[in-house]
Amino acid sequence: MKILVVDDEKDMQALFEQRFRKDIRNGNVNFAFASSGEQALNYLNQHSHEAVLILSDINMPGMTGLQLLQKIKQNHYEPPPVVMMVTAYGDEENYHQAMTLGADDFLTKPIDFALLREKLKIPVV
Amino acid sequence: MRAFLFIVFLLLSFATLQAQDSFPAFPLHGETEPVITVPETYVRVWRDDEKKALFHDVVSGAYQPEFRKLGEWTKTLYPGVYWLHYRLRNASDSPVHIALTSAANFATCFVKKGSLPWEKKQTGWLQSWTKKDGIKKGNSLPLLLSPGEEVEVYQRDDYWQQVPKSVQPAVQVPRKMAEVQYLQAQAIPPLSAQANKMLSAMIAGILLFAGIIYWRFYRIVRVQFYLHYALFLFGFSLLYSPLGVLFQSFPLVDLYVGNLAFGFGLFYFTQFFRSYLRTKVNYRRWDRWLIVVSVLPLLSFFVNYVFVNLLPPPVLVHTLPWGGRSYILVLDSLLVTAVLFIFTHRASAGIVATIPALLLWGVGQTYKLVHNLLQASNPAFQAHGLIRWMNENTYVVDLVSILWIVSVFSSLLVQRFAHLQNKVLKQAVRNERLKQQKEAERHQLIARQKAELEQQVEARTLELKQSLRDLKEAQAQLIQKEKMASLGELTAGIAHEIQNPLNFINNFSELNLEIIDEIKNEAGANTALGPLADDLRVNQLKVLKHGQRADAIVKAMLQHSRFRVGEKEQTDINALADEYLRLSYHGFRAGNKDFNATINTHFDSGIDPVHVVPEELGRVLLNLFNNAFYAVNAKKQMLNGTFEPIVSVATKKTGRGTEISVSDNGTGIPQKTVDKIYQPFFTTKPTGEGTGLGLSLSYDIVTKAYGGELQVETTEGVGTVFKIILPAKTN
Repeated sequence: MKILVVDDEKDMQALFEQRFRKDIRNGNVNFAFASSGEQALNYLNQHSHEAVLILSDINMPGMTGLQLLQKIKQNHYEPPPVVMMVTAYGDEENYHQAMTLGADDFLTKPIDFALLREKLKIPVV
Repeated sequence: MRAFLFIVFLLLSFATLQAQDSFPAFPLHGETEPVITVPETYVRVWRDDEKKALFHDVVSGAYQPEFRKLGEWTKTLYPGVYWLHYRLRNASDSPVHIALTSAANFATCFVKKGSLPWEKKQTGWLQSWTKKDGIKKGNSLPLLLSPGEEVEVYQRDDYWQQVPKSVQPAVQVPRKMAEVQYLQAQAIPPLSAQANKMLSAMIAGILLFAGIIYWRFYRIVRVQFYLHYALFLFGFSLLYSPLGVLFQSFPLVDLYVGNLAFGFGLFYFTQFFRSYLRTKVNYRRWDRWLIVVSVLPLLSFFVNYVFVNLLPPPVLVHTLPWGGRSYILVLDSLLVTAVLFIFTHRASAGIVATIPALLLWGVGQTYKLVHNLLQASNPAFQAHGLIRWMNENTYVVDLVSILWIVSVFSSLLVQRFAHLQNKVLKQAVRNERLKQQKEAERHQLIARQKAELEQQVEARTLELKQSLRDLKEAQAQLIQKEKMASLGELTAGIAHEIQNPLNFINNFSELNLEIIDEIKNEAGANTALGPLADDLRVNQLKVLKHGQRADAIVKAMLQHSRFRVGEKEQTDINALADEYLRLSYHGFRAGNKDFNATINTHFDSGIDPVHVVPEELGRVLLNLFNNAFYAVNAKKQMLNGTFEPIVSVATKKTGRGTEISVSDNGTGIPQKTVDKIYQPFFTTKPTGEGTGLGLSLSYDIVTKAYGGELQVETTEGVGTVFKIILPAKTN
């Protein structure tokens, strides 16, 4: 499974690669990283058939996660990717906005990887 | 033809001569009578209706054909210019002293003695004194005729403004006249002209003086009849004033002013009667008659004196007598008015007192008129006794009547004036009293209003003070709220941002722990790495633990702004409070095994369910209960045994909504910290025991989520009461 992680924190790549070290080695999951919404869109346009799941931060310089979400939903990628928002701002407003824009799920930081794993396994299995 | 013309001329000349000759001179046979009338046969007359003929034209013959013998002349007499032509001859042996005279207002005599030239002489009643010739006072033009001497006279009689009774000339015999007058004076001493004038002047003075007094009265009391009376007196004063003496050279002034004053005086005398007796109210119709009558003398003055030259003589014949008649009409009307008042019993004694005078005056004048009329139709008519005396002395009658009336009315009016003054005075006193009364009432009213106002001001001041207090309180609360709000936003922002680093701390810590385990497995039990790896693991575990602790704090903080966990529902506050009280109590006892407290509940069964999220309000209650138990426990440990901890909860319905109060008898909150209790992270508990977010969160829930109030009343060492007030309708 291809997972695109969008976050302006560069350490996020190390965290994910280490957390899913065995899964990457097994080839169960395949990660791609983008540090901004623009990069993420570029990646999606180049590899439109690859990304099945997108994990995106909301607060980012430039394009925000919510704007990115909107674009993704507008662009009608095939197959339509699953978008999960991962943010430190888990307030009601953000949550509702994300859901209205078509986010598939909403996670808060610090990321509970046990929970994430649980959620990710559902599409894998 | 020429011969014929000559004959005609001769005949005509002869006829003229004949006429001259057949017009003889009147022979005078001595100074026989005081006044000798020239018989009609000796007089020729011509009326100059144009009033333009000059003597020169008259004597030269241009108007001669117009002259007629007086005996044959039958024209109606009316005001105008009459030329008379007659001759006189002394038929006696001795000289004769005669005087030409005229009854006309203006008379001019042209006299020619023998071959002497014509001599012009003027006289007449209205002739200016300076223009008069001869004996001015007697209107006489003396003439001395020697025996046999003849004199020819052209007399121009201007009957201006008068109807001649007869135009027949007469000559006076001065000596004889003096004789007769002297003898008459012996018989009845008449009022001499001088005495007459003095008397007039005196009367005028009296009337003028009285007039001034009544004018002053009028100025004071402003009652109309005083004005009328004063004007009447002024009029009659002017009438009696000896203007003739003052304006001897201008007799017309006397005539005009006297007649105008007379009409004026009579007019106001009538007006006085009207206003004094109020005839307009009492006798409406008679009053109208009086108005008409009162105007007549003035009207006749204007017609007969002012417009006399505009009116044709035949009209004047009828209008001229109305001067006297209107006067009599006025007097008789006033007499009737007075009598009318007597008969209707409305007259005062004063009115009764005027009646004899009015009677004398009015009847006297009336009689004079009648007498004159009778005498005109029958020259032989003669009155007798008192009537005759009155007729001959109307002047005296008038004077007596006027003085009588004036004195009666004056005393009446003075009385009336005194009465009026009295009335005015009384009215003034009454007005003054009324004014004082009003003033007093006004003062009372003002005093009352002042007192009321003071009360109102006091009440308003109290209200204002109260509202000022309220406002200050509200302001303090607002400031507090504002502080809380900004603090809340700040903490939320900080909390979120801290979560990003915490994400890495916690997650990498967990990864490190896994890596350490792997290192240990790889290295094996006997290597020197083992103990080091163990130490590293312990340290890493501590990092993780504190990271998780920070996460917990941040999570608690974020509960301020976290979306709700439940839905609003109609909640039984009593049950909710009871449930959370027990929860808190048991929870606290679990941590403090030997803790015991008295729990009091005062639930008002009448309160309505409140629309809230039960978990949210429960969290608030839990916070308050936990704090209460903490406070009583702290106090108990301080006092050691003698203290009975009590925690109470009460609900009740108030005007503002539902009130839940949580009270304890614990340590209380120090006054200096009570303002900070709702600030996030403020805590009095030891580190690790409290986050300092409990009350802050509770405050946010009650005020922001439910629009309610969270109040605290505390006394250090005695206890604390927290009150949650939820408005009747919450969103």
